[in-house]
Formats: sequence, structure tokens, C-alpha cells
Amino acid sequence: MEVNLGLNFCGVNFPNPFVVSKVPPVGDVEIIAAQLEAGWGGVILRNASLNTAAGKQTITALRGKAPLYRGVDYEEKRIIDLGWIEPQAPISVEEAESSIRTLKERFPDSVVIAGMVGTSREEWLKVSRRLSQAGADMIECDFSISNGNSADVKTVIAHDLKLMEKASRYVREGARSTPVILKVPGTLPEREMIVETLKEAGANALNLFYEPKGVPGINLTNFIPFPNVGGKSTLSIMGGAAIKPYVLGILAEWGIANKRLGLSVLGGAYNWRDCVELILMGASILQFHGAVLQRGVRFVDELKSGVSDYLSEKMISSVEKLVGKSLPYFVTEENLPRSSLVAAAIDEEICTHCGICYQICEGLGYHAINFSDQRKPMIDKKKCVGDGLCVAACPVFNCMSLRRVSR
Amino acid sequence: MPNMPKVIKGFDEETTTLSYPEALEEAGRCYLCYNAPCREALPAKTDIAGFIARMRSRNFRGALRLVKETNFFPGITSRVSPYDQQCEEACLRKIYGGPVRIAELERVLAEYDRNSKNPYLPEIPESIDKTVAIVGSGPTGLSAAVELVLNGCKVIMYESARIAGGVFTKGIPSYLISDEVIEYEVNGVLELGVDLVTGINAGESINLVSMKRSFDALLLAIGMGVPRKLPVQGSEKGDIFTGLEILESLKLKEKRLRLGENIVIVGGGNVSLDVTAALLKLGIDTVTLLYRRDREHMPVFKSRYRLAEEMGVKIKFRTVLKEIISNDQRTITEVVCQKNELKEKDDSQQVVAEPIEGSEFTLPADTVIFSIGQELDRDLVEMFDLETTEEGRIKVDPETNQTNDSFIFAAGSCVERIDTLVDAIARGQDTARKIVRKLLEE
Ligand code: SF4
Ligand code: SF4
Ligand code: SF4
Repeated sequence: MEVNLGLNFCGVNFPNPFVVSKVPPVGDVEIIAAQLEAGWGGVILRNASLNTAAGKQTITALRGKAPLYRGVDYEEKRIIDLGWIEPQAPISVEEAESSIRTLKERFPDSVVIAGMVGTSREEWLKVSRRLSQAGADMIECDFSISNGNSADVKTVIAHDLKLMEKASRYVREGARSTPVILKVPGTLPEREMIVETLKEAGANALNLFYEPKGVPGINLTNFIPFPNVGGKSTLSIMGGAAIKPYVLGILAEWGIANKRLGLSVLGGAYNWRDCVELILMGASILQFHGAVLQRGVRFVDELKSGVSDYLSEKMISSVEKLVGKSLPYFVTEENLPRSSLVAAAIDEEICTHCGICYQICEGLGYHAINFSDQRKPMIDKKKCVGDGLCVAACPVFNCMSLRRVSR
Repeated sequence: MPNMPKVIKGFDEETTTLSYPEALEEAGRCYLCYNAPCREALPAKTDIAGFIARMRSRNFRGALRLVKETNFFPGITSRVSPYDQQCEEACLRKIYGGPVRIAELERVLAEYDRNSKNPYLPEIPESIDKTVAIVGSGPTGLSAAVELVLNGCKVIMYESARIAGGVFTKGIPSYLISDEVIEYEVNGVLELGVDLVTGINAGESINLVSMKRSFDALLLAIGMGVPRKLPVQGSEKGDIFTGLEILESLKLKEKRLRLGENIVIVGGGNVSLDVTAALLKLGIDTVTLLYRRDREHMPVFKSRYRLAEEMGVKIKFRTVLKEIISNDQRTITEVVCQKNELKEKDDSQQVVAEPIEGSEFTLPADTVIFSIGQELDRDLVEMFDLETTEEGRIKVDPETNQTNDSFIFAAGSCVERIDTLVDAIARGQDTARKIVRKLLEE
């Protein structure tokens, strides 16, 4: 079955929902061109700003502050999460303009989103105007930065709704007919109010991101936290595979609050299953940063194949039809049904008799699994409360499940 | 050219050890089963799931410590004991991609320790003021010594050979395990403060009366020291060796071994296979092994059979040696063999081999190696007035491992049939605990 991975997001046609966000860390338009060449649906350029003197990013500057990245391992599994202290310094509007022109000329069908930041009326207006004139398909204004360039003014724009509203209006005005995405932390409260206000102010979409600050670990030999930059460390941005559940949670909350803005999400997608899940939870566009650093540009093939094969198997013609499909099933805890009765069940064909399910159920105090001398686990349906921890812990894929039981 | 002495340089160990990334991946395959059956299936009862869990979080030292609680010689056993027929056979992961390679993981830990700047030494408890003498420093004696020391006893160990180790040092070909590994783990016992007296025959040097005065107990772990030879016609002259003699000389570097071109090995155990494989490795390929029954009756480890098979071992099944024929210069020229037929006994599972009349045939031969097991060294037994069993082993009370003289304990293959090194180690540890219990009761 022919499936369509393309979708229309705020009036812009994306060949697929997979977008590379701000890779590489230093500007080289050829690397970005290679991403579009490889088949990504779009790219987001690094934020343009009128004020780039403070943080002009060069390879030399980065090298002086190495290492930047640190993976988090769990036992034998490498990089279950990834942390980085890479500063996202803005680029000049001129550089952004030239990149947009080059990319749009070579890839007219791919989507080029221009990132921007601003801290004043002038900047919001001017930068958005110039990016739109240069031919950007969309403009993404980042509200996660501080308002003001001096180090002691630390108000994050997104934390001040009035300021966000004001800025949005300027960007809208500057961008003219170019659709505008506003990048805000997914953890913001008062989501309904934000959606209403920003919609009124002219925004087309939100890009929710979740990049919690963390420490990937500590070197137990010398006690220096990772990454060790010349004997010192600092907070990293955590954006590896492990954050998917949090991003899904964020989407669930925004998805319910939001009826009027398009949703894009940054972070948490590390394979096609993650992608499908994030889309089901309401995201139309998926932005990738850490995963592209880790897996390289060709990674998009896996995603495209995974999602389209899933769609053909489910006989769904277009990815658009998946957007938000899981939201109706999501309620607050007090609204969960009170009459759900399930019990654990075991597929005896594939059970290894390891006894982990038994150990867990005993530990929980339910004593619902009998474990014979022959090491055969048997669920006592009368005692099983169906909490599902044994199902989560069984080491054999798909061996245990929860089945509905009649009263 | 027959009977030219061959200079043997000894073998290099061929056993490899997993790298850390491989080991972590393998450890990750373990389910950490509840009441894991792998543990029950290894005679030493090592907490396998426990040590694997520690390895997974890269606590190698803790993992090694756990292994050493039940088996002080993981470097040796993980190389030569048939884990594939014990714990790995019982591993529940078996059906999904094969069992967890437990021996490999244990070996990684042993190597970790051997390469460590700060190797593991257990804490020695306060003395309980008891001294135990042990005769024999093979696996049983050594592991008993460890357990006794770790229970606060003082241990003096007597060994008739020049160095400690028994089967460890004598009976295992160097391509399976290097001398360095053995030495390291045997020395580990001495480092616990065990006094070792080598080159001494305990019974002759110290008499029982003085022993009883100086020690609180005596443990015999003398193994089955004397290799058996078949009393066939012609077996008193010519180049006739025992399998253990060959293995022992192969262990000595730069040893000159006079071996012929046509070698016949009698017996179908691990030692015969090891001797055959070793000779084949030396390029002596005219080796024929005679075994009286079939492959499935051979009391051998699967891995050792596989190795000998890969080396191209030639085995004549259902065949016995009847006569060795020599010429006037006392040089063997040929051997006479006879075919067997196998009959199932009605009253037991056992298959008996019975010679077939008139099935004799000859094989060209210049060297005969007997490898048909060992028997008890009678000297000590007689000197100490010990009762023996029908099987020709020392008789003990299975509850206490005491002999008819309650001062004397015995353990290991001098008491019962022991199939693997891990069994021998487990018996030593177990008997040591019995001795401690008895000493504390007194
Ligand atoms: S945890 Fe799974 S594999 Fe293990 S005994 Fe229970 S059902 Fe079987
Ligand atoms: S679902 Fe809960 S109660 Fe039921 S068997 Fe599993 S652990 Fe026990
Ligand atoms: S049986 Fe296998 S999987 Fe289970 S604990 Fe033992 S080694 Fe691990």
C-alpha cells in the first residue's frame, strides 16, 4: 500500500515530518545541504540575531572547551542518554540569509525553517522580516533565551507571558505571511492561556522542547563530573533517548490544552516507534538534534521506512491521520475507569522459567504466582491484582501480558 | 626414525579470555534468575547470578570475591572444568541464543584479579587455636586449606612432589592452561598463611603419634596417586608409559621425550584424550586410541572430545589390548587387540563389554601408553591402618568424612569418584567445614 509521509503543517508542505534541528554546531551550509540530500523533511537553521558579537561560534572556540558531549550508559548498553554543554551561539542574519537562499535554490521541495532570537522590538521585527524576505519557509523564534544580553538579566522570555505576547506580535508583523513557530519549554504551566494568547498574537505553531539540565555522571576514579573540561564540569543539556517518556508526557498535556496551534516537538525520538508515539500524542513535526549527532544523517532512512511500513501494515494511508490519535485516551488520574479488571498471563511456549515474575509478585506481597519445583510459573487469577510489574520485568519479549478478566 | 628423542618445548596456552566489552555484553544476557538453576548445577554452588549482576555494574572485584567464596581457583576451573556440561547446561537462557557463557565470565574475573595491582585477599578471622595437617596439595587439599584458614585454623600442608598443586600442576596440558595461571592461584592459598612442606612423604617423615600430638586433625587429600597398568602379556618390557607420565613430562619445558612413531594408547578417559591431543599437536599423528566400549560410554568431557576430534584422533572402539609383542632388543613391534561385543545387563543400565572369540588382530606399535585410571597409594593407608572400600578407596563416614581413625579425615578422589576439578574443590571445602564443626564441638 502506498502511504504518504508528507503532511501540511501551518500551510507548509513537508515531504516527511522529520526535521533536523541545528546540526552542525558550527555553520557550514554544505553539511545542512547533505541532510536535505539524505531525505530529511526539513532543517532548522541556527538562530539568527542582530547581536552575534558575544557568541560567534568557531571551531577554535569549541575546541578550547572540550569535551562537549557525554553519553550515559546502563550496564552494557551504551548511550541510553546523551548530555552536552554545546553552547548554541546565534549566527548573523547575513549568514542565515545566505544559507536560506542557497538551500532553497537547491532544495525547493524541502522545508527550510529559519531560527531566530530577539530581545528587543527592533530585533524581533527586523530579523523576522529579513529571514522571510530571504525565502525561509517558516520562522522559528526561540523564547527559551534570556531577555537581555547582560549576564545578570536572566529572565527567560517564555516565563513572562506578556513579554512573549509582545514579541510574538513583532515577529508576526516582521514575518508577514511566513508561518511562525514559537519555541517554548514544554514544561511551562498554564498551557491553555499560553496557547490562546500566542494564537491571538499571530503564532501558527509551537515547538515544544524538553532539554532538562543534568549531569551525565561522575568519574569514580578522580571524582570529576562528566564532561571533564580541563578538570571542571558544569550542567549539561540532556537530550538522548532516555527522555522520550517525558516528551510524550509534555505532548499529552499540551495536546489536550491545544486546539488551535500546530505542534512540533524537539527531543525524545530515537527510532521510528518513538516517532509514531510522539505523532499519536499530537506532534505533527518531529525535530531531531541528539539523535542526528549520534546516528548521522542517514538515520532518516530508518525513520522513513519504519513509519511507512507501520502505516502500510495498519492500512493507514497517511501519516497525517495519526496526529493526536492517542489523545482521546488520555485523562487525568481521577478520571481513570474504576472497573478495569486485568490479570497477568504467561505465554508458556516462550517462558524460560527464570522465576523473575514469581520473585517480583512475592516482593510486592500479592503471592499471586505459584512457582513449582519444576519452575513453572502459574498465575493465580483470584489473587492477581493486575498491577503489571511482573509483565514489565519478564526478560522474555512478549512472554507476559495483561488480560482482561470478567468479574 | 623410531625412538628418536623429541625435544618438547611445552605448549603455549590456547585458551583465550573475553575482552571487557564482550564480557559486559555476555553478562547482559543473563536473566538473573530467581533461585537460579545454574548454581545448583555447579558442584561448587557458586552464586552465578550474583557475580554476573556485579559484573554488569562493573564491580569486578565484588564479583570475584563472590566467586572465590565458593571456588578459590576460578582461573583454573573456568579453563578446564566442563562448565558446559554443568552450570551452562542448566542455564535457562539456553533456548534463546545459547547459554550464558559462565566459564568465560568467570575467567574474565580471574584474569582481572591476576592483572590487578591489588589482588583480592580474603580477610582472615581470629584464630580458633586449632591446627590441621593436610596431606596432598591437589584441588581438594588446597580448597580445604582455604576453608580451614577462613575459619580461623592454622594449616600445614604436605606434598610429596616438588611443588604444590597436584592434578592442577601435573594433569592438565599447557595448551589448555598456562603454568602462570596455575601458579598464581595455588600461590594465592599460600598467601593466606598456609605452611607448605614439599618433597616430603608425610607418613615416613612424621609418624602418626607425633602428628596427633602436634595437630588437632589430619586430612588426607591424596587423590589416586598411582596410575594403573593393564597386566597383559608383554607389559613388563619396552616403551610402556602411563598417560599421566606423558602429561607430566609434557608440562616440563625442554624435556626430552622418547616416543616412537606408532603409539597405542589404552583407555577412553579425559587423560587419554588429552595425551592423544597433545601428541597430535606435537605432530605425532600415528596415535591410535583403544577403548573397550562406544563413544557414548566414554567418561569424558564433551569439550575435550571435541578438541581431540578436531585434532584428528583415531579411536578404535570396542577394542581391548591383549598382548604386547617385543623383539629381542626389548623393543615393542606390535600389539595384539581383540574386539568386544557390548551386552546390556538385565539388572542394571550398565553395558558390559565381552571379548569376541577369534576377533584378534594386530596393530604395528612401538610405544604403549596406559591411561586406564589410577589407584590408591597403599603406603599411607597401610601405615595409618585405614579401612578401604571394595572400590579400593579410603572408607569414611559420609556424615563427617572421618576414617576409622577419628583423628584422620579424608576427602576427594581417594574417597569417592570425582569427575571434575570443581567437584574436587567443592569436596575439599565441604570436608573442611565438617572438620571445623567437629573441632569446635570438642
Ligand atoms: S518472568 Fe517471564 S520467562 Fe521468567 S518465569 Fe516468569 S513468565 Fe517465564
Ligand atoms: S500483575 Fe501484579 S499481582 Fe498479578 S501476578 Fe503480576 S506482580 Fe503479581
Ligand atoms: S540460569 Fe543462566 S540466565 Fe539464569 S541466572 Fe544462571 S546464568 Fe543467568
